[in-house]
Order: sequence, then C-alpha cells, then structure tokens
Amino acid sequence: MRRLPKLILVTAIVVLLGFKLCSYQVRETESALITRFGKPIAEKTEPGLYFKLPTPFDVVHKFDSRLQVFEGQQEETTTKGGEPVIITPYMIWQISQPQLFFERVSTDREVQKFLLSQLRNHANAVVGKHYFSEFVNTDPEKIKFEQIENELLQALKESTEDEYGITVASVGIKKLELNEEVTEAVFERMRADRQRKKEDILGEGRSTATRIRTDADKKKQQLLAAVESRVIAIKGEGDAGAAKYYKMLQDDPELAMYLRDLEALAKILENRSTVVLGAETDPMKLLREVPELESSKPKDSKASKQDSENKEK
Amino acid sequence: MNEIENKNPENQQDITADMDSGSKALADALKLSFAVLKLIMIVLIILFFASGVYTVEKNEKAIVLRLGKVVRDASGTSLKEPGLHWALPYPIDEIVKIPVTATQKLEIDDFWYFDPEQGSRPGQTLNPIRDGYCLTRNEEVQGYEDQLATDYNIVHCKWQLNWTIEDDPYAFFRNVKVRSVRPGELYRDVISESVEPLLTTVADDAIVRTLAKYSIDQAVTTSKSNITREVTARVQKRLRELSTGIRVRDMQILKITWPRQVDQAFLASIKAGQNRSSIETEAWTYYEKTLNEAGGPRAEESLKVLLDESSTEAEIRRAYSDLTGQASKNLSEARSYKTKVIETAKANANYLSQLLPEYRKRPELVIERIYQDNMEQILDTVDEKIIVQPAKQGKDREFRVLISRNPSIKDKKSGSDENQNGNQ
Repeated sequence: MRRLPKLILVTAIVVLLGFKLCSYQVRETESALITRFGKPIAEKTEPGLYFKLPTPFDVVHKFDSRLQVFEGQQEETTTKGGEPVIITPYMIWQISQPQLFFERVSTDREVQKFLLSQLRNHANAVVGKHYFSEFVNTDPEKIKFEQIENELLQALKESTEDEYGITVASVGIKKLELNEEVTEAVFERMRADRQRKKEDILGEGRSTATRIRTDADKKKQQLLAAVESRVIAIKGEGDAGAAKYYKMLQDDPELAMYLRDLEALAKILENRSTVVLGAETDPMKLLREVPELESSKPKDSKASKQDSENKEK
Repeated sequence: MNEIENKNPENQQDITADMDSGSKALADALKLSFAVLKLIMIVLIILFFASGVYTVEKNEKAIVLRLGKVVRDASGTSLKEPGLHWALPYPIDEIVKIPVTATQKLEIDDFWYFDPEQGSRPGQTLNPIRDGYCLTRNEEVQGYEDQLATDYNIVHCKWQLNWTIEDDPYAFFRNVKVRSVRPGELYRDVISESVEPLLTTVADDAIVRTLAKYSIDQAVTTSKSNITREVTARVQKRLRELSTGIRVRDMQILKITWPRQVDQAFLASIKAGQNRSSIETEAWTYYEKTLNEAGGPRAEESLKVLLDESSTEAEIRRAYSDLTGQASKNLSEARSYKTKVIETAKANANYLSQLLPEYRKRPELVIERIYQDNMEQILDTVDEKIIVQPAKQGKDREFRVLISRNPSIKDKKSGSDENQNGNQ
C-alpha cells in the first residue's frame, strides 16, 4: 500500500529518462540527421518528435535550416577589359539536404572554407566575363549589374545544390571598389570634370545674360520705334491742324512772310548772340544826331530792309 | 530511534505507544515535516503546470512550438495575439515571442570614409579596405561619348534602414536565422543583432546597384528621393523573394557627399553656379531697368499689343497710354508740339486778320511800327551789341558802344574793348 507512490515515482523517472534518451525533437527551424555508429540512417526535415536508439548507438546531428548570410572576402580581380576591380561578393544560403551536407562539409569551419572558395571562384569567373562598363556606365541602359548577379547565382547553384545539399537563395556584390592608384586617377578626372562643368556653367550664364540684355535692347528699340511712329503721326496732326490757319494768311502773303521773318529773327538771336549794327541804322543813329523830322511824311522803307541783314556772330 | 523505524516500519504504531515523551515529540515533528514536504511537492507540481501561463505583450505576437512543431489553430494561424495564454510546460511546448510592431533601426555606413580623427586631412587615395564608397556613373558629355564609356565618379554615403516584422512574423521565424537568447539578453536585441548582417548585405547590394545608375550630381542633389525610393524597393523585393517576413518601413540617406579629396573642385563648381545666377540676375536687372526707362512698368505688355497686328484700335490706344518713361516723354512732346503748332498758327492767323484792315489803310506806318517793336524786343535779349561806324576817307574805323553786357563775357573781352575805345 505504501510502496505504490514510490513505485509510480521511480517508474515515471525511468520512463522519462528513457524517453529522453530515445527521442528527439526537430524544431521548425531545423533539420536533423541520425547516424548509427557514424552511418547516416535517417534524415528529418519535418518538425516534430522522433524516436531513436539511445546515444551510443544513434547520434542526432541538427542543422539550422534558416537563411544564413555568408560574406566573401574583399578581393581584387580583373574585368574582361583588364580593369582591376575590387569586389566583395556575398551569398545567402541554407542547408536543404542534411545528409549530403553532412557528408561533404560537416564542421562549421569547413563550411566557411567551402563557401569562401566557391564564392571566390565563381565571382572572379563571372566578373572576368564582363567589361567594367557593364558595372558602371554613362548610359544607365548599358549597366548589366542584375544580369551579372544572376549569372553568379546560376553558377553557384549548379556547383553547390546537388552536390553539397546547400540551397543558394541569393548572391550578389555588396561592394564594388577600385584599388588605391585608380582612385587617385579617378579624383584627377573628377577634378577635371568639375573644372569643365564650372566653365560650362559660367559660359552658359554669360550667354544667357547676353541674350537677356540683347532682348532688352531689342524690345526697347521696338518700343521706341513704335512710339516714334506715333510721335510722327501726332506731329503730323499738328501740322495738318496748323495748315488750316495758313490759308487765312493767304489774304496778304507778303505781310505774312514779313511777320514770319521777324519771328524767325527773334528766335535766332534769342540766345547769347552778339549783334554788330551799323551806326547809321535805326534807332542807333539817334546816338549821333537828332533826326530832322518832317511831319506826316512816311519813311523810306529801304532802311528797314537793310537792317534785317544784320549780322549774327 | 531511526534504526527502529527503518527496521520495522510496519510496527510503528506499537512502538510509538511504548515511546517516551521525547521520542514521541520527535516522531510528531517528523510527521509534520513529511506533511510540509508533501505540500511543497504539490505546490511545485501546480507551479510546474502554472509555468505554462504566459502573456503576449501589445507589441508582440507569439509562436508556440509543441515538440518542435508550430502549433496552429483551426484556421491555420500560427500566431498568438496579445493577452494571457497557457501552454504545456517545458519541454513539450516552447514559446517564441516576436516583437512585431517595434520599428528597428539599422545604420549602414559601409560606404563612408575612414576618418580616425574628426575632420582630419584626407590622403591622396582611398583605401578599399578602410574607406567605403560607391561608384556613380558619369554624365554623358556631347562629343565625348566614346572616351567616357566607362567613366565614373566616387561618392560616399551613409544610410539608415527602418524595419519591422509585422507583415509575416511566422516567415521571419521560419526563415531568418536568429541566434538563441542567452540569460540576461533581450530577444529583441538578439533579433536586431542576428538580422543585421542579412539586412546590411541586401541593402549594400541595392545601394551599389542603384547608385551606379545615377550621376554624382543627381546623387548629391537632385535625385536623392528617387534613389531612396529605388533602393528601398530593391531591398524590399529581395527580402520578399527570400521570404524573410521583414518589411522595410523606410530608408533614409543620412549623408551623401563627394570625396573629401575633390572637395575644392566641387565647391568651385557650386560657386560657379552661384556666379551664374548672379550674372543672370544682373542681366535681368538691366532688362527691367532698360524697359522701365523706355516705357515704364507695363512696357512689355504694351509692346506685345503694339507688335500684335490683330490688336484693336482701343487696345493700341490703351497700350500707348500705359506707357511711362522715355516713350511717354516723346509722346507728350509730340502732343505739345501739335498743340503749339496749331495754336501758333491760329494766333498768327488771328493777328494777321486783325492787322490787315489797319495795314491796308497805312501800310508804311504799320510795317515801320512792327519793325521797331520787334527790333526793340530782339536787341533787348541780345547779349552783346556792337555798333559800327561806316568807313570814311577810305580807312576803316570802329566806334563801339557797349550796352548791357553779359558779365561772363565781359571778363574775356574787356581789355581789347577798352583799347579800341581809346582809339576813338
């Protein structure tokens, strides 16, 4: 009666221990390989609980089945055209066939070595098949980066998938660089480029400025020309208007001309002029003598004609 | 005492009866400790099952693995929503809590230059091992296409990638390698750290490929947002192809610049750009000033109307009246000329018609009077008047009288004038 709980306890412990020794779990993120005396006997890629013989007989090897990133070494290689270029390739991979993987590359260090050599060989080979201008080009249409990465993916897939149990999910070039000497040359060219650009910019500015100025002058001329024609038209209206009154002058053209001459004379002598007069002219002769006046007898008109020939200096 | 009990456990009661009071107390104590032990066992068993209770926080979702296999509910969903849940205790069930909504930041500075001291002088070259950079294509230059076919520039940039796993936490759990959590670590940090190489690699690739398509000027100035968009799309596409369940919330260019080695040249070309705009501004100023002087602020519109042959009479008149400046000056001069000419002609005509009756009666007198009046007026305005004595006895002699001389002329001529006065 009293032994029963103890018995249950002991049995439970034994069963649990046995269960622990004879079973294993495969997580959703893993796959497993069972070896009996070192020989693979089963490959488990589905998650769940599985049974096996206790440890000395059967051994469970677990492999992470998730994506892993492997970054290759930065390495100088040459393109088809012979340009040196430094690339850093990478691959994203996962273990798809545990048994194959276990047989070909078992330890972690070996995996690294294996992936590095694979990546390096294929990357160098693929880069060597393309010109540098297919990586970088003034014409974006000619850049074949994507194609190059696809070629690399195909090459790696072929060599790893069936033979090593590895699935290559993605490969690419994460860095594309140049060696030190080349960078110096690039800087030199970049400087020259800037210099040219600077000249271009200034030249462009100057020509734009000239165009603007010319345009301004042209518009000004056009405007003033248009105005000038209007001015002539207005003046013409004035002259036409005046002509109406000139008809009235025809009543006595001689007198009208006389008046007009006087007016002109006044205008000519208006500004800072020096006039030389004969002492005999009217009214200067008054300076010399008192005239003999004869009442109600008109003067000789000859004198006045002579006067109008006065000289202007 | 112990020996007795161990040897004869079935006779315990009889013996207890025979025991002295001391032994009895001891037996009681032992019984009590058994009871306590039992209680503890029961509590432990309860605790063991209670340990399966777990909470999923608001910003998390959980995945339950039973014997290594993801537990799905009837609808096939593997994710446990936030709240209180119960699972079978270890080692049957395993709970993985995944922070889904928290945005994680990742800085990508693989393309930034190596600067041991802040702002130190750059070397002549870039060392590909220390210095990071991308290549950008060069611009096409007219007439240089062939030479520049493989031409390129160097650009440095620094990025930030913000991401979450809210889209598909199961895919993330299934496909992305996350290292196991050690004591004292937060799962969140383990995720960040584990995903970093993958995200950095995918982003690097996208950045290298995208920048190769742009020129350096586009990269550092005009096309930043296009580049960001393109890189983001590329990264997202690849992460989706890999079924990582990661969503790129956004990517930002933190810094992007030309190499320090060519800084001077770039600054000079930027300055040239500024110079260009000042040259152009100057020209525009001249343009405005010229037109403004010629025709005022609305000169250009007016000119358009005047040059347009389909303009109506009213429009043209309006255009002329809008003008100010030189144009309006010319126009108003013309208008005043017109007025003056007409008015003068009119005045002359009137004068003549008034004078005529008198003139016909006494022509000589009228002529003489008008002549005198006019001479008086004319000589009044003249600066210098010289009166000459006509020649007598064949010898020229002058007689001069100075009337109202302009003072400015006097200074120059006074000497000679006095001499000649003396001769007289």
